[in-house]
Amino acid sequence: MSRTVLCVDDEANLLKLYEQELVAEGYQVVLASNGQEALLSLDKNEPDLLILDICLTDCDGLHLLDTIRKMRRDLPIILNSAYSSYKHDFQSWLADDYIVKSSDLKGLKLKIRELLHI
Amino acid sequence: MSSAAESARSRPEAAAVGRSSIDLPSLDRASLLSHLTHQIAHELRNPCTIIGGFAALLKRTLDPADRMNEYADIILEETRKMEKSLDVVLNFSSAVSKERTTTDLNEIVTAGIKQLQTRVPSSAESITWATREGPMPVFVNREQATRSLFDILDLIRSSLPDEVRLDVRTTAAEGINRVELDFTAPSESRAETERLLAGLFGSHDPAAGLRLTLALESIKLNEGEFGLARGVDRKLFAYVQYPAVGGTHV
Repeated sequence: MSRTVLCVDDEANLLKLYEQELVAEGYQVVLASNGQEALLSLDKNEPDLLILDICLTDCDGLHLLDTIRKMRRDLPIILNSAYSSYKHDFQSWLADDYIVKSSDLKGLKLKIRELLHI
Repeated sequence: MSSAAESARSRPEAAAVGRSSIDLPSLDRASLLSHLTHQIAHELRNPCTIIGGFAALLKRTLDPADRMNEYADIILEETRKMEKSLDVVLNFSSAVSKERTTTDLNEIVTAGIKQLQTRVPSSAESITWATREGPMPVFVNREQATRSLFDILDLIRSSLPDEVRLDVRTTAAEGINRVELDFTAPSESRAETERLLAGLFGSHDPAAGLRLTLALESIKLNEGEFGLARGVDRKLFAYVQYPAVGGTHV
């Protein structure tokens, strides 16, 4: 059975790219463009892994991370941000990994496989 | 070394030919730059990821014999260049808000050169350095000062011909602690070397230009100056200097 990855980002084209790439890798992909959609999708789709942007239009991604962590303690979460500086923010330590956005998606794909033990 | 101090004093008529200046209060500049670089990160990082990501995807769907492959490669290559430039900006912004402390300029020079020799082992033979005896206190953010000196040394070293040796020394005079970046070149290539050094200021390589600009901004943030000057012997040299902590040197 294929695993479900929830991608949360306010950039529609980035979501489109992640969807294409991750579907090609064999995952089921669910998209959310803000924090509210992410929380709804978390309930509805029960993803196996979450890729979360930090700067969202309706909320702070780190605050959302804290909320989600309380709801799903065991859910693997990858913070995916344009900023490397948040890596040193203790709030980001709640995530399983932190990957700076890059056009080279090899690092992100590798991390997903690692966290899902594939 | 006392000879280094004498060297600074023996250049009283050294004329600054390219000097940085402080236009804004340091704190305003720091917060403005920090804000700006964060904006740039968000505004440029996402488009870079998207453009490069789709170019890679496009390339995988094309027939290898298709001419479009070449275009996709060009887009990918240029996007990676932009991402590298972004990394330079972000490295700079990450150090913007850090505190300044009284630090020995000799230690900064030693750290900067050791960093360079670690990252670029071939530089060990092309750089000599001599530090002035005794402490040379300056009030700076140590990380910014070391990083900016490292960037300047690396940019100058990589732009000079192989036969030219970079001579770094610290000097002190008139309330200023200074790092002088002089060089030893065969007489026939001295003029060319000076032209290359002066050309660094107008570099057309965007990554090098950006790196130099940010190094200069870091120095300015710490109330220092970077410039080119001519000594009494009319030879061109580069310098980085900061106000000395504790008054005028004798």
